[in-house]
Amino acid sequence: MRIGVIGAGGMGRYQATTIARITGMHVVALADSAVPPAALQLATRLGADLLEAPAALLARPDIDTVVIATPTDTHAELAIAAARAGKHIFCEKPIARTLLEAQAMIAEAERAGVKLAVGQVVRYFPAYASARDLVLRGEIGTPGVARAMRMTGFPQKSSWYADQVRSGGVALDVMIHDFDWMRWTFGEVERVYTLGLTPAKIEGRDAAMAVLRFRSGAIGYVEGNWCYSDFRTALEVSGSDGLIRSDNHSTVTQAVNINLPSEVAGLWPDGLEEGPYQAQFREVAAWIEGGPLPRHTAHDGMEALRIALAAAESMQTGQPVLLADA
Amino acid sequence: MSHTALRVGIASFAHGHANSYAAALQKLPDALLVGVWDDQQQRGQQAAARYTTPFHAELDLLLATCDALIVTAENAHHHDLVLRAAAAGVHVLCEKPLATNAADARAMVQACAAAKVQLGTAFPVRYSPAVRRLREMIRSEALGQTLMVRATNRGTYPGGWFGDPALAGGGALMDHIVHVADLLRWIWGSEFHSVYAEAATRYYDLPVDDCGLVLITLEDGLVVSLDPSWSRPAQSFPTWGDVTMEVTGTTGIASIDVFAQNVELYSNRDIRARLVPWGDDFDMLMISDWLAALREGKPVPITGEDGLRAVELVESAYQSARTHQPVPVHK
Repeated sequence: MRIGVIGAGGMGRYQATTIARITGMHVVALADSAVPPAALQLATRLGADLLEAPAALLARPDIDTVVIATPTDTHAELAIAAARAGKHIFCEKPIARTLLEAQAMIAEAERAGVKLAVGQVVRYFPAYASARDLVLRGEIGTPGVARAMRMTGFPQKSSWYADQVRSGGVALDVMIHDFDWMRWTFGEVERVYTLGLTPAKIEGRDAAMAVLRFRSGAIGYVEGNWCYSDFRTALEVSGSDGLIRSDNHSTVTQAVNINLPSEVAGLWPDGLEEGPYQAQFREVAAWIEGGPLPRHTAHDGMEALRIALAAAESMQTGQPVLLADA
Repeated sequence: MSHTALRVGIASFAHGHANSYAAALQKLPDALLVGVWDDQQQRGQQAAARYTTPFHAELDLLLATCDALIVTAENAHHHDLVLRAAAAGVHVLCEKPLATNAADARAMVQACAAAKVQLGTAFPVRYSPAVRRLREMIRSEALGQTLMVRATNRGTYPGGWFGDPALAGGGALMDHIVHVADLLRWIWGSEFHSVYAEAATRYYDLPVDDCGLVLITLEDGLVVSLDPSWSRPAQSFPTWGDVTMEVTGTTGIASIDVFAQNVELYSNRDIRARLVPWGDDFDMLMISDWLAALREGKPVPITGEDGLRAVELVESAYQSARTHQPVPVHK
């Protein structure tokens, strides 16, 4: 498979590096309007061309699949252009900034007869996949309260992440991971209520806490927090017959206590032969090549966005939001 | 008040905390456990024998021998017992929650004020050194401005009358909102503005809620999540539960885990791993402080109003859980 990566920021470079490690995957071009120095190094290392305009990448006949790792508010336009150029698409989460955009992307991919996948990598983290399996196998009985927390630092001031209009803040960028995992595990959400800092627009700080009620009757708590100095995740599901807990700090198999450049420092899970991002793309690529659906589909990506947008709306209005029938 | 030991009675051993309060009274030099009353005669007689103190089948007989009364009955009985103590001119320390509804709690506060006796509420978690240090940090703005708090007071289902709405007044939300509610007011010095709650019965076949999630806004704008669920598996979890807080401030994060001081025990004699606590005895510290205030004629450190404020939050949380709307918390 010959792959072009659009967006050579931190995530685009990480995806390119990860994908290039998979047997049979060839990253042949990177495109970014800004072209950071790190992208130049990476392109050289991968033997990929470095282009400035995404259109130039989409025009290349030797590329069959496009990875979109650009700011959230540009996903729809690029995905639609890629579909029209006949490319299969793997788009980073969130699928888009709005539901209308997400619907348009899905419709355009169908019309063009290309495959559209969305990265919701938490489904590929073994601890999260295992926790879901345990719940579905009935190991903890009837689920009662599920708690998922995700904490990290605030994005750099100059970054598009820091612009709520572009990124959607913590609800769309951080909490969407756990909204997706919870929907995958407990089914559709009936209503959501959220308290958080996003409406206050505190410079350099954003965090929110959402309470979900699932149609099944289970209760969810999802926290996204951009006020930490390190990356932390924690998961707990309680049920009538037991409790599941997992967090990323108590499962570290190797700790290095020196100052590393941020791109290397503990953001990615280590201690696995195949990391979650690699497993995710391998599964998506197999689908593109005619295999079974990946565990996360574009439709799932849109439904996770629906919950995240409802959480953001609740935070703005101070009212619970009922999720419309999907 | 004289310098002789304060005479304290205990009304009901329905709540297990009665035992640690009785033990504290026995250890403290300036207090005297003068007797026990209980509406369940056998339970009361056994407790009285355990602490070598008289059992009274009539509450008035106990009240006649007391300077102060500790009420550790089922939640629904707090109101009547406190009013009878007030009528007898006896100070009261009432187990949490102060009452099962705000109207009862308010009546208790008013009756004690009218009778010029002091009403205290048992919130021993205030005596955790971790809580006290967090309070100092918040008061000195060591975390800058506090933005958000994630709190838990999760536990195992206590069983018995805790699952009976007529005696407990509710379930997990009734049992486990009030401790953190009191800490929030005490640490941040702000009252409750509004609350949103989900409540459900998912773990046990009970007529009350056994789990939930509560989102609280304080008048100063602080936003808080609180998990009050009885979600610790009764047969397998290594301890009763927890009280935790993680505080997000503009300049840092602080966490407390009030009951983290344990030794881990893995014994072949018990297939369940166990946590054996070694931290301070908060019940003892609370009783000691309460007695000192009574002895010196000062206001008790944790008042009936404190208990009332927490009950008001619980009542609004239940209203929210029924209506699926955020509910203002009125004083």
